[in-house]
Amino acid sequence: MNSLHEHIFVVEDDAQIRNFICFTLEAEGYVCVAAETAEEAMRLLAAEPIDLMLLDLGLPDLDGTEVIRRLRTWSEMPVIVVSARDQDKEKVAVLDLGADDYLTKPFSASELLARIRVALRHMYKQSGAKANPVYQAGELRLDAEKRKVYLGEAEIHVTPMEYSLLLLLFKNQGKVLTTSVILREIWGAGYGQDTQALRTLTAGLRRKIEKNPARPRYILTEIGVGYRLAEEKE
Amino acid sequence: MKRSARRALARERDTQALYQLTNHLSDAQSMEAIGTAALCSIGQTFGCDAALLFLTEKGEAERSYLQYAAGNVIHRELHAGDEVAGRVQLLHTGCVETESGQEWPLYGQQRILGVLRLPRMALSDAQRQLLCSMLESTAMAIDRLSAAQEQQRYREESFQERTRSNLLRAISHDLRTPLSGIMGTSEMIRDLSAQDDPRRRLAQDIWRDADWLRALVENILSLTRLEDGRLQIEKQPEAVEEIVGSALAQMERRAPDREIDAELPEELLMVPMDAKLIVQMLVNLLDNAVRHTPPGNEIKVCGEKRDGKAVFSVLDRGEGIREEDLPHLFERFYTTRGKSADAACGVGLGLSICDAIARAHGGSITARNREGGGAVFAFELPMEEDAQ
Repeated sequence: MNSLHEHIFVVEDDAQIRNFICFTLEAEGYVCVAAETAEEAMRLLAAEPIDLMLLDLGLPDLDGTEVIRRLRTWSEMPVIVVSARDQDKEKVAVLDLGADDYLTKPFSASELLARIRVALRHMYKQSGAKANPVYQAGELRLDAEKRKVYLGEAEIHVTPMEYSLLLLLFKNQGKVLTTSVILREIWGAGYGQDTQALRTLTAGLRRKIEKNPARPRYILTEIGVGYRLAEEKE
Repeated sequence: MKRSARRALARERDTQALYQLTNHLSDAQSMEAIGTAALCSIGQTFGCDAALLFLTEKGEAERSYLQYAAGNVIHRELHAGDEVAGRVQLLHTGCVETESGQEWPLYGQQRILGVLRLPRMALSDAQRQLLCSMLESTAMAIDRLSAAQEQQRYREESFQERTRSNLLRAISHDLRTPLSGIMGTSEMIRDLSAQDDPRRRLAQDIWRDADWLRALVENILSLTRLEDGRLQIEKQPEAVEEIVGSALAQMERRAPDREIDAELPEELLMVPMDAKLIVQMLVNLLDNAVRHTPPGNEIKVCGEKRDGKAVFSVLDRGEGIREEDLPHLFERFYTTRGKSADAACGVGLGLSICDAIARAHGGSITARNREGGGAVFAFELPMEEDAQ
């Protein structure tokens, strides 16, 4: 159970889904604050102590992108967007605007909790980041001080580009990174939208660290969005 | 002088009769009205009984015919229908004389539309010419009417089709949100119940049915959008291994106890496609394979480059496809009658959405049985962006 009693802000207009989310969260020890419209959400955001926001993109009164844009002018709080399948474009736009992660309806309670845990963890880490840590996911290990990658005991030889990609993914472990964010971080701004280069880079890296690239264990593909490094613990 | 005046008078009478017939024909809104107008006009002009039999598009005689006698037109049942139909071939050469009378063909643009029967009598050249003109006008009227009816039917059908699509889409869209709620809530009840609590199984059943409905809803939404051209497919170069991987990840949730093999080329294969739709297609095909394959038997998905095209295939060692089902597999709402036990699973939309998606990509999908049992569903996509 969660001892910190973080306040989770649930912005969702459908009553049943809101109930399901709040029930799940409260069972885990979180405190739930709920809103049904964007307008109510903006008002409560200013008034309530909130640690993380779950934002449904299909709100009746305002576009999800606009909610994020306004929120990001004054707050860095983690935001997880909840979308239906045909809101894909909006979902990516919102992630590029600074939302932290997303869930596609229908999602399971475990997915919901996992996303929230990851987002909260990254928020805490930002405040007290340790220098040159060693990252780990299952057998895969990245030593940021030595700039080396290991799979079990064996060192894996990666190119500098592959290393940067893996480091970026590790720094955001468990979180989705959109294609355009990765391109900007690895190739630098102004490189444009060469998704093919990223696909090729990922394919090469996967052939070095994944047993079966069609069933990746570490670098997971989020179709139409980007990549996510698995949350796998030893 | 007197003779030529009589001839002129007769010619004028003929012209008048033809003109009146044309008038009546242009008002006629049904085959019966056309037939009645023609018979009355011919009967009065030639002063005799007459009968008109329509032929169907296949060249067979209709069951009843129209008869003109003593100024009235009535319906009569046909008794010697086969005999008439058999003679239609002869009519291609023109009028056929029989013992009881003469039969005149009604030539339409595409086919012989009907047969006019007159009693045995001698006709002058002028009368023959007039009769031919009258038959020609009648045939034109019939052609015009069938064209109009055809167009009307087509308009109604496409309107109904559009209405149906719109309705389906609206319903599907509205179903999605409550389904998410049902799935989330039933999953929660399942996880809150102890392993031996019967409610755990009940909640799991609710979840599975809701998940099945959700998949159906997604298929309907994609299908109706693809069909009316509203779903713009967005082709981008995508890695085949990532597409197959995403489909496998979805299958792990839907059928966690089933093993699915993947066979992919060693080198990276990039193909222009709409990633979401191709994943949806693979999931549908894999779902289908799981449904028709006993647990433990092989199910495999392959992606490869063959003859300059990207080929995805889903292979199983299941019950295979029945010969009579093969031609209909990709039709909308077609479900095989062979299986009734799992009828609840076969919605018949899974495969038609696959067909629609393949075609929207400029590709194609095929199904066949495998040697040694089981089925293969394969679809090809062009490797290059078509130069549009």
